[in-house]
Amino acid sequence: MDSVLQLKAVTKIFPGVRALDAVSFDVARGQVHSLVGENGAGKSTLIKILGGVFTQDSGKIIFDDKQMNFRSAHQSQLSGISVIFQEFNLLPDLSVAENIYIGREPKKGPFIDRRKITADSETILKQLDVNLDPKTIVESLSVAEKQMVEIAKALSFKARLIIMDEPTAALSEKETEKLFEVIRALKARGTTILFVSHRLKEVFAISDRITVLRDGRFIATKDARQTTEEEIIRLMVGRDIKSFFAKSSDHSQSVMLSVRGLNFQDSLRDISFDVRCGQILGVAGLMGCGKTQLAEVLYGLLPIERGEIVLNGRGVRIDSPQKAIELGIGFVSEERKENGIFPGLSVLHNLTMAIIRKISGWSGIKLDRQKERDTLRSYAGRLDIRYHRPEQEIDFLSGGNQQKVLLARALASDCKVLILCEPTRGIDVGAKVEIYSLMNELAKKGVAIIMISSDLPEVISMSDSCITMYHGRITGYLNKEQMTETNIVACAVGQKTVGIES
Amino acid sequence: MKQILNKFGRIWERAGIFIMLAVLAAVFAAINPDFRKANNISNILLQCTPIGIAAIGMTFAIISGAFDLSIGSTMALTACVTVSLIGVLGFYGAVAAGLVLGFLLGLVNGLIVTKIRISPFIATLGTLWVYRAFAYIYTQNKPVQSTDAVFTSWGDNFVYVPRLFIVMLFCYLAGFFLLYKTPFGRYVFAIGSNRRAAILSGINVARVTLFVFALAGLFGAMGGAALAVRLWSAKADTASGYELMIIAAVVLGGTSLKGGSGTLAGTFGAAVLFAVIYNAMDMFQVQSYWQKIALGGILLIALSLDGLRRKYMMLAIEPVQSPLKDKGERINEK
Amino acid sequence: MSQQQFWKIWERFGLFIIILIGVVGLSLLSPNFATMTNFKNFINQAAVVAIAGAGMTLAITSGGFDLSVGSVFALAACFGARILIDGSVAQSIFVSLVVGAGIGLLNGLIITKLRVPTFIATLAMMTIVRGAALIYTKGRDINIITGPAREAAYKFFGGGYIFSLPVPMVLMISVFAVFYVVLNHTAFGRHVCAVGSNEQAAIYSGLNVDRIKIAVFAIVGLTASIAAVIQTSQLMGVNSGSSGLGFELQVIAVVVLGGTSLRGGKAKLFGTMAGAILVAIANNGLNLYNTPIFYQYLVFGLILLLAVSMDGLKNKFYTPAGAWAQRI
Repeated sequence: MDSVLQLKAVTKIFPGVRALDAVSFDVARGQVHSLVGENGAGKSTLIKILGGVFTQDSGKIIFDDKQMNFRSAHQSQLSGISVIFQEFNLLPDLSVAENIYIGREPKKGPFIDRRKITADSETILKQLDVNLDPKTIVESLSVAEKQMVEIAKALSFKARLIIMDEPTAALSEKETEKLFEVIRALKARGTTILFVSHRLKEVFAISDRITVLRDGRFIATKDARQTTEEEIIRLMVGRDIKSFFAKSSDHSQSVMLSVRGLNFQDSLRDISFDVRCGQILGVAGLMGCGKTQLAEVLYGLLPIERGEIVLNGRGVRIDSPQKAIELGIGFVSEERKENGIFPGLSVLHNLTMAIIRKISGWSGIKLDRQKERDTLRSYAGRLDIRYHRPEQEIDFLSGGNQQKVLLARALASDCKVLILCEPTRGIDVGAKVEIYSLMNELAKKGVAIIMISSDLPEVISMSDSCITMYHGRITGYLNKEQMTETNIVACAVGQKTVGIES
Repeated sequence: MKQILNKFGRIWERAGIFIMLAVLAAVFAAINPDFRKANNISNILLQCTPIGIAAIGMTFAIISGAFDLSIGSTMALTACVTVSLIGVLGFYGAVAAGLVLGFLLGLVNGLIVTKIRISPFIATLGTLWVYRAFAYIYTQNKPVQSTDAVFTSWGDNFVYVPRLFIVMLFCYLAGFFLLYKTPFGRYVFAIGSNRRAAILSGINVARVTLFVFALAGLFGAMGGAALAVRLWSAKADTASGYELMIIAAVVLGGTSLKGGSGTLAGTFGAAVLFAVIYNAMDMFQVQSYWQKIALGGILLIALSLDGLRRKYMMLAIEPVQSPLKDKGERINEK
Repeated sequence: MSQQQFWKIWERFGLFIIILIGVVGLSLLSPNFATMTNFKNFINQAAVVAIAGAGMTLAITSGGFDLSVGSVFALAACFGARILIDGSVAQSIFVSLVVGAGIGLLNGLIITKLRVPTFIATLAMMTIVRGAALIYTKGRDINIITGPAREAAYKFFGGGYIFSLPVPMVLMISVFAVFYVVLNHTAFGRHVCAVGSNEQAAIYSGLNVDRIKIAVFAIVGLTASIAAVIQTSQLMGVNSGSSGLGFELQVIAVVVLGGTSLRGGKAKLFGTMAGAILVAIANNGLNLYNTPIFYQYLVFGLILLLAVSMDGLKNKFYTPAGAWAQRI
């Protein structure tokens, strides 16, 4: 096999943890090779090593039959490996052309040759079949467009290996398709793609071979056509995961939250639905359909322009998150790092932030350390949150554990309605299962859960019923039988409606 | 080796300022016996009060991710107003008036930041000038004095310890309580750490921010009063340039300018350290011009050590070149 | 005109509109305003702050700032003045510039190699350099008394005319022209923006960020020293204690006034120049009415707050409301 990349016993150790343990595998030239594994499996470390961000402690990396020892990110790029990180490495205030050619600008004397840089950029963008004016400032581009700029940059370096880290995390279905087209075109030209992702469906759609890492160790490489999702999951997790059966829905429960005719600018139009106690309502839709705004309105981040919300029989005005919490509405944002955790603060503080006033003495003046710790202990037990000490900085917890802390924060204020946005995004399978079982437990206790998710299998298996949104309107009220992937997607793209009387 | 550096780094992070303080004090005391005299020590303690007290409010501000560049001007304005009112309201009444004024000035800063949405840096840059101008206009550029007995008595000692220093201790106690024992204090850290997450956790960020600025103004006014007591007077250009000194003390003490972390004890140590250094320089008859250089130099050395510490603590985790942020790599992001 | 259009126009031309209002207003109110001498007065004042502002704009665009420019200004002025007494004009100016650039270089090194936070590094340098200036002059004023030819030559920089325009004004325009070209059309300039825009990405892209920052600080020091030469030429003397005191905050304020974002990555060079001119006009107006000098502080602060408020309010009313926009 013509291998463009060979890893031989690559090891990387951080204080206290073996991020990579003698990992060896080959990547064939001109293929799309996927790298999968739970959080903590070592994917991110491997990418960073290949990208020149750090060097391995031992082991060899052979690229294009030459042994490589990258001492900097730039060096790795010059050698023909381009890494497209999840957060991108773009300069928002500079133009597309300047971003592509940063550090290598064509010059005319002491000045940048504007004509050449624009022309060269146009050429590359055309190769990708992307319609972008190279003079546009990157800040104004959409996530998908920014990704194209990164790929163009890789091409300009004549990259022979392009590594993509969770490229579809923020893309819509249509944009993902476009990305796959581009990947296939790159493959046809002989470029090799290393595709790192959590989303097995996409992995199977695009890859030729799949490598599984677990706990820093290489587990297996399989031909995509000769394996199944279940097998890959088993390899990732090391044990059999029972598939999930959500508890049976109980229609006789009373309505906890009722929403009628909600409107907000262009993002929400005439939204009406009910959620019962103990029910899990899924909300599905493409990016921009309004589901985020819906969550924000229900949590008091956005004002309603028209419509009403009835909570537990009483009409309410949710002015602010503070009010929402008082009313018993809990919320977990989809952006864990940006909106969720308090970096630099301890696990204890992170978990109790929403309730410290409630449990403090002297009528809300004095903190009660003991009660805080008790709260932490009880939720850590329930959710199986792994940490060393309560004072440990939350930054050092894995993504899954951080998410559990955020969940606990919402739960600690005794919510009757829980709004979850992408609850298991970027979380390994093991932690996912724990979160799902927690959701079931909560539902059994009577909590009404609104789950906004773009993970269709998750929506289908966990929700009792779901609504689909498209362009700010609800296009489908689907019960358990109607919740098929086809139906959901059809409603989400506006192709049809279900359960709506005209 | 890496382990040792790491350990050292951690100790420095928590108590560095006090180590420096202890070392310097010991060195000076050893070189010059006059340094150890009770007289001199009380002098030092007296010297550190204005900046020490004002720095309490600034610590809160910086932890919450904000800044108050107008604190020097606030100190001057409130000092002038306080001294000028001693005749009318008596000492305690005048001080109370000054404190209220400081609180209001801080509140105005807070309103500009929260209601008009200007960044704290710019907002307080503007009020720095406006408040200073008010001080000039109020005093018509003439110094304000008072020989009131109560006023001057506060500059004295109480059993060898300056009364002002005792006041400072009480202020710090109050600060400690607010910062570490109340939900408010926790919210200050939260806002500095991640404002959006704070909003989502139900914290009323606008209200907390408003109060933080008001607090800065309040402690500033207290510091201004202390300054007036020391000088027996106040002028419009009193406390010029103090804002930068106060921020330097807070940062030197270990509070990060990024917000979300900080230590009041460190601020205290830094304020005392500054006073010790100034005192030693006077004692060794270092020309005042050299004093400036020495102070700047110490700031640089202290923070280089801090910067190098952070750089090498990161090294303990992975090689140079990595453009990682302070916290070090998130170990579990794979 | 819709609200959106209003704010768009304001964003581009707001400052100039205010200047226009100020100029017209003062011309009507005071007969002494619209004279050549008066114009020379305030444009020369503006030039000093503006030129240093150009450097500071570069620094802020790269994501940093420099609190030591006031002291650098003073030191460059002291050296220049002292040397002029015995040396030639060329020597004097050369030394001033070298002092400025040199200290800037030092700042850059401290920040990049010793990893001292910018705020502290430049604050420390501010005190150190001020101390150095005081020591160098032994705390006394320097009055430039030297040969008439040399005096005349030196005075040219602060008070002369080129093509019947005041020299400082011409210098200011030249400096800004050069900066504009460098910032927008050279790789170095784009790299400065890159560093301010996303420093980590800049490093990953192979840019030598340390070197860029050091160069930027050297430039800041250089512009401060140019400004110092101009002012020393106007005063024909310098007081090491008070020269440049508070200058750094003035310069930063002018840059902010001009619209350059403190976050870096975007430079509004001509905004800085406009800001400096506006402040100079305001102060000039106050002078014409013989208001005590400290009212200038009030005006300065209010102008800054008002101008930036407009910016803040614009974001509040004009930008479509997002979930986070409403909640400070």
